[in-house]
Amino acid sequence: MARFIVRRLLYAIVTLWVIITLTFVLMHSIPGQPFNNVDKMTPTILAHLNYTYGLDKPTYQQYLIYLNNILHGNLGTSFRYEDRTVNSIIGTGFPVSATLGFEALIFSVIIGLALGVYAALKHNTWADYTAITIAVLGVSVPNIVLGPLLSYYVGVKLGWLPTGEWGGFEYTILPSITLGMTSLAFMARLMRTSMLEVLGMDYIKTAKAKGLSNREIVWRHLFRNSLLPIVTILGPLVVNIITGSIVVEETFAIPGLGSSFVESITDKDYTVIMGTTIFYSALYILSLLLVDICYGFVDPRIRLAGGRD
Amino acid sequence: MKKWKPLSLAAFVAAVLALTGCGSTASSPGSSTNGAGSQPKLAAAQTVNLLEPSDVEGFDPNIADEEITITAISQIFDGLTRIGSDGVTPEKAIASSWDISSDGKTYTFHLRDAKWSDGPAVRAQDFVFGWKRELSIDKYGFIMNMIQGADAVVNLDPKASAAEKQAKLDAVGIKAIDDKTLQVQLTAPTTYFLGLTAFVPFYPAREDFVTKQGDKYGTSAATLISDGPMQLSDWKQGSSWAFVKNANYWDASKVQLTKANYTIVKDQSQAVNLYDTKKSDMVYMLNADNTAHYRGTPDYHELSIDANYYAEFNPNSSNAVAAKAFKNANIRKAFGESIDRATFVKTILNDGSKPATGLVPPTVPGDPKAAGDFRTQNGTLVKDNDPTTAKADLQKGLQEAGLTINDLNSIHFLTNDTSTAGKLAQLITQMWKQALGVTISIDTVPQKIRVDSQHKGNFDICFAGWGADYADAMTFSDLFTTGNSQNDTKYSNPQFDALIKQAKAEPDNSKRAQELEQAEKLMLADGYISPVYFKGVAVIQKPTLQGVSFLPLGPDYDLKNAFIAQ
Repeated sequence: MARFIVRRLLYAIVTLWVIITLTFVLMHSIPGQPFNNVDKMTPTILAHLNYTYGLDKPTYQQYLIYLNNILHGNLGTSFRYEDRTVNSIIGTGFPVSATLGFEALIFSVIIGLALGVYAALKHNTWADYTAITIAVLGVSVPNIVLGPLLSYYVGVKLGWLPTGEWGGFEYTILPSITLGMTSLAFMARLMRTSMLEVLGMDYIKTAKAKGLSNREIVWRHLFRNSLLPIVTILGPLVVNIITGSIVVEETFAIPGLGSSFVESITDKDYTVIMGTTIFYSALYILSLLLVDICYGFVDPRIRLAGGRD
Repeated sequence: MKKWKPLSLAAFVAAVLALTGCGSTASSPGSSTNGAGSQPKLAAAQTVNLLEPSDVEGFDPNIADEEITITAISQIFDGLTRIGSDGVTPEKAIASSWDISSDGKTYTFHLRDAKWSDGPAVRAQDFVFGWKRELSIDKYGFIMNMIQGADAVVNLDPKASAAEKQAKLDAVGIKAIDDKTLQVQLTAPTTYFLGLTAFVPFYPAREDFVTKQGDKYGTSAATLISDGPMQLSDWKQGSSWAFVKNANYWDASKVQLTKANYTIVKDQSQAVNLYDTKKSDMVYMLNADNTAHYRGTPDYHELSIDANYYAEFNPNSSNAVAAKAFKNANIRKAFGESIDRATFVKTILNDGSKPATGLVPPTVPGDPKAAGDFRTQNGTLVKDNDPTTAKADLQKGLQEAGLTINDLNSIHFLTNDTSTAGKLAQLITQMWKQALGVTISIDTVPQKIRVDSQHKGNFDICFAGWGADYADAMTFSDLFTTGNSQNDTKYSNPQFDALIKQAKAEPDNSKRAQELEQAEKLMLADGYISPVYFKGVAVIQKPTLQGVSFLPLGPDYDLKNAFIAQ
């Protein structure tokens, strides 16, 4: 297990390095400047700014300087907000995004699994069809549409919840639903399919033949065995929710990391683009690793490292 | 010596407001609170809630170089002058009076007894320090180029020694004669200079405080002092900030608002939702998608700002056909004449923008001896929506250039990737197709890339915009002189250059305006650019929020005289 984790961590570092290099090259190959008012500056002033920020150095030198800084845990200072380091931008933005993401995840897992289980148990009844319709809608309505709809109808028309901004718990409900909807739908469909498959297994028939109560069959045999595919998608799901939050944060005016990420790209704020990309990538890689480790717990048949004889 | 006589454009602004149907109500934007008529009753709570689409970059006036930051800072600072509630006229602020030498080049400002938010007096030395700091930071320092010696600092080699830089700074024509007297030496008479002294780069900075705070200056309420109607009370970077009334402000008795809360809301649909649920008192610059919903309500207002948008035809394009075509005056003319500007403004923008009739937008002052603003005085110089003439001009041009109409199909239109820019490109190319039978392809790139390509001359046709840096026609005309870094089409007409040069040195305002008017006529007749629209801004504002002055250039608005009515 330890060997597996160490190996995977090494891979992760190499992957990160590739991502850093690629992002760096791509970012610098796009024309444009990270400064405001470039269209009002004379070439001399622009040259001064480039000098001040080290952008007049050859790209490979900038790259080496950047790598060296990352090794020292320094992601640099934003070009646009000069008094903010990228570390502090991530430090203030990420907890907000994480809170939102965590709530959305809980929401989608609980409701998604419940819907999936319910649909499978009521297979081919109207309840099943309703659950599946909800699921299909959830997958096909993107959160860029769902968000404004919820904000307008629930927030403005009904006036039940705040339309946006970030405050107490009531501010998190609409964005969490928006953010979790796709995952919820996906989860429900997957759980339903998985349950139906397990329902046809011989050990379920055996359990029924033993005279176990329905409730016991569902909890002891059906549910746990159906969970495996869910764990598989949990990693990508977490990432989905994190990247999805980019849109949701804009829609609901939430001061998270996602909105900083989007803004940095349109501003060509080099250091913030790099910093957030590295951060998101590291998060992604880490969540995949965690999922792989979880496999071992859910299904003992899966051996992570070589196997013991 | 003469006292500067402000050019009154209030009449024009009022006319615009009347046209949009909001000039007669008490809630009209720009309406002054001290006007005649019934005075509305103040509400008990004088708190205003506002939204901005992005965060302030910092509250240090010397680093401010974009709209939102500039708008925020101007609520908490006061310059030598402050733009009045008509949105145009510079009025006395920290300076209680000033003298201008007869050659128009020496300004002597006499300061009133004003205080910083932490108590000490605002002195002439604070202006000297602030202005020189602006020049040495060199972000927006170029806006001071009319001050003697300023250019030498701004253009100094960044590798120059500190001593050399200091020597250049010492030579700049800004001097504190005593605590209360500031003298500024200009290189040429500058009619708009008093307007500029109301602008953010010209705010004072107190040396002892700035030095003590170092890099932290202006990054939080604790590390900032200001001399304006309000002061910073809280800033949660990335999400919100707040101002409270500055009790030490010299004109504090006129300030009604006790608090202004700002929240960052990037998405406009959300901003509108917050407005509808009474979480916000105003949304500035409404998109076309949202204007229809509010038009006709008492909340809705349309304003004119000093910005124009125009198409550029590049005779130096690397695309040989485009270069050949746009070297021909008749082909350029044909492209300009076939744009239907009224339809354009109505279908795409729908926010109070107006079809362009020249280069210089309305409200910019013209000849002080004649009636009206620069635009009215110089008349309509743009030939609009005339497909018949356009077609004839195109035929003539094609023959002269030795091109066929099919050749022109290889011409590209470079545009931004925003939704408005995309629609705009679609419509304008459609107009050219209908009127001229030419199929222009559209290249869509992000804004910063568009600007970059444009300045490097890598385009055939492009859309450009220019917002005024100061309230004068020069800010627009100057761009098209030979060798100007904004002159994307590399337009060069010695006669035009001569007129601009003459105007820059002209001490007689009336003559100067005439020279600029002549220059505008000349440049537009050459047709390398074709003005399309003058930018308007749609605003929704709760009828209870009154006395906000909207400004056509620089900051978006001023809250100094704003109040909440019952």
